[in-house]
Amino acid sequence: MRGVIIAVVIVLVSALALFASINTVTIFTGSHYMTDISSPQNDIDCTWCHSWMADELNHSAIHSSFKCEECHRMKITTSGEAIEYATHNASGIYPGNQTHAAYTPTCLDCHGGSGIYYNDTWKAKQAPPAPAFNQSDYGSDYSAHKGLVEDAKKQGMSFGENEACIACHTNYSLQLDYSYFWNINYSVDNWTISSFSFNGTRDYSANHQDTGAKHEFVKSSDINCITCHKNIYDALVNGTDGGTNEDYLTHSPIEINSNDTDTKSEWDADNAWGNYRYHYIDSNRAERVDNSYCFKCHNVKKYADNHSSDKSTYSLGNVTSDTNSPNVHAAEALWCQTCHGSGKTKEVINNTDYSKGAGHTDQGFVDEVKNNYARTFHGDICMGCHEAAVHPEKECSKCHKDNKEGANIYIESEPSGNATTDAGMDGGGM
Amino acid sequence: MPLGRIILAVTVIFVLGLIVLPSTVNIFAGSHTFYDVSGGNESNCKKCHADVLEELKITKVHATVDDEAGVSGEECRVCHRANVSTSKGTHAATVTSCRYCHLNASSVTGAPLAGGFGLSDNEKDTGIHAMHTSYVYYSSRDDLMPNTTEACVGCHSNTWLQVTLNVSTGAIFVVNNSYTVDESRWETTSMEMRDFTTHKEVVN
Repeated sequence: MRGVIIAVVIVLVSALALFASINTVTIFTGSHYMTDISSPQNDIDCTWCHSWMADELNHSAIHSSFKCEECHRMKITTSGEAIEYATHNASGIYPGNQTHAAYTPTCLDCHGGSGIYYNDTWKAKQAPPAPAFNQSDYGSDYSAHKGLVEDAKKQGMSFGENEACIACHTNYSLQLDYSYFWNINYSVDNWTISSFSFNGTRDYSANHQDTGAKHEFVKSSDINCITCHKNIYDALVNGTDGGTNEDYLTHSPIEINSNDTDTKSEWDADNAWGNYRYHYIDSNRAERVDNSYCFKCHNVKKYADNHSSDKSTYSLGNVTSDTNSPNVHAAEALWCQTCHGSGKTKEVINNTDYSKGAGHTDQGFVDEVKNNYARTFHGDICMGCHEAAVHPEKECSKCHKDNKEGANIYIESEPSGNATTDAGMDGGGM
Repeated sequence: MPLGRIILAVTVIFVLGLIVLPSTVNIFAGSHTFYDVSGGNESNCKKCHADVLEELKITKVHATVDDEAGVSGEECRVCHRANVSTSKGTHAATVTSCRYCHLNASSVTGAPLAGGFGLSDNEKDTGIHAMHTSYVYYSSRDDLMPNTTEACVGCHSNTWLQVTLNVSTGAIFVVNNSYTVDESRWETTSMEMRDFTTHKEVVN
């Protein structure tokens, strides 16, 4: 009985309270409780809405000590551009001009020019300048990736040329779909190229899956050339099965040796300068093809700086002067002629093991290739002879005997590198 | 005293009271006590919107928009009666957008301009590097609150907020080699984001 009475009383009181209460609703509770933004620091924490980015940055190899505002509320870029944000601090209230809360910087806003920028607290900071790309028009045309940076600037996926930077310098996943020629055909007679043609189209996809985090920056030393240039890696490591012959591995020229007896190996373990071969990898290719190997050609300065013994052995200090490697970002776009052309430190010279007269050394052949054919074909033209599998043992007469001194060459691009040669025209000499 | 007699006595008193009391009833007690709205005393917002008043009491900004210390309820008029006009269909208050004061350099409230989106009438306000432009833009197209108010309230107030962001984790670049016999160039012809993932952020 008592319980019933208590229940009735509660119901009556609740009904009365509902009847008497205010019938108004605020759309968003808390919408009139405004954040006080008058303190010196950023009072509206970016991580309230962007916590995953903060998490990415915490796992980054570099920049992990930065707060968001270091980049996204920087005051002056290296190019001197000032950015005015909406600000309320002890000195007053300032309406934003170029932006309100935050700014999306380009990487070169800090890493361009001298690398000196002013962060969110007006402190001058020194960022390492991006070699070559920190210059006007992104520096030397010999930078292999300058085209990527220029193309990124035209695209709208990110701000400025950031796509190019992010592709290499972060753990953002990337798929590169390449399209290039399948093979070239050419004939060489008396060190003159004739009937050159390129054929077919090769589509090659390099797919690199990573954490996908754009704010996970990687150290430069951890950027792997093979990630994007897997077709080159495949060419150097796998190529095309040569059966009982050497495998067809393009992109790695071999020094050709021959003496008069035709009984010895057609490849030289030592080069014409009496040093061990510089380019060709005869074993453990999967492990030995790495960034260091790529830099042997594509950044001679970097390779020489990190390999003092080879620097001395191969006179790489002088070779560096023949290249543009001191002036490029990461890698140099080069020709075989860059090192082996006329007047260069490693100008082609006669192999003392070969006694049948001058090879292409006296013919200006290397320079001719550079001057008359697109750079994309140079390597394959040279590899048409300098691919190890092109010179099977005891088959010199295919191209080099009596009146059959010439060759018709078919060679495929990376990664297959398959090549065929047969005797060319009569006359002349090779 | 027996219970029955107590009940009888209460009943008799109740009935006598009904007979003696006036037989008229007001629908709402107090409904003939009118506020004097002359002399600028037009509103008593806090009567129904006490919850908002409580928020104003603990916020530094907006509590002194009426140039008076403390929170009295008169603050409401500054924003919500700033553009009231009975001739234009408004009676007591308007649903005011942040834009009315903070994107208007000639606002009678003298509110600080929220520049940097290119939306204010400050000639220096270009917003060319604004990061949250799309957030503000789509807020202005939404009908939940007037103009860009959702975006302002989302960042500048203590409103509970859930943000769902779709973020790409990868891209695909198409790289073509263009060549003739004597010229060649590698060109990245397209860069497209892909492999989107969803991040749900809750701000409370």
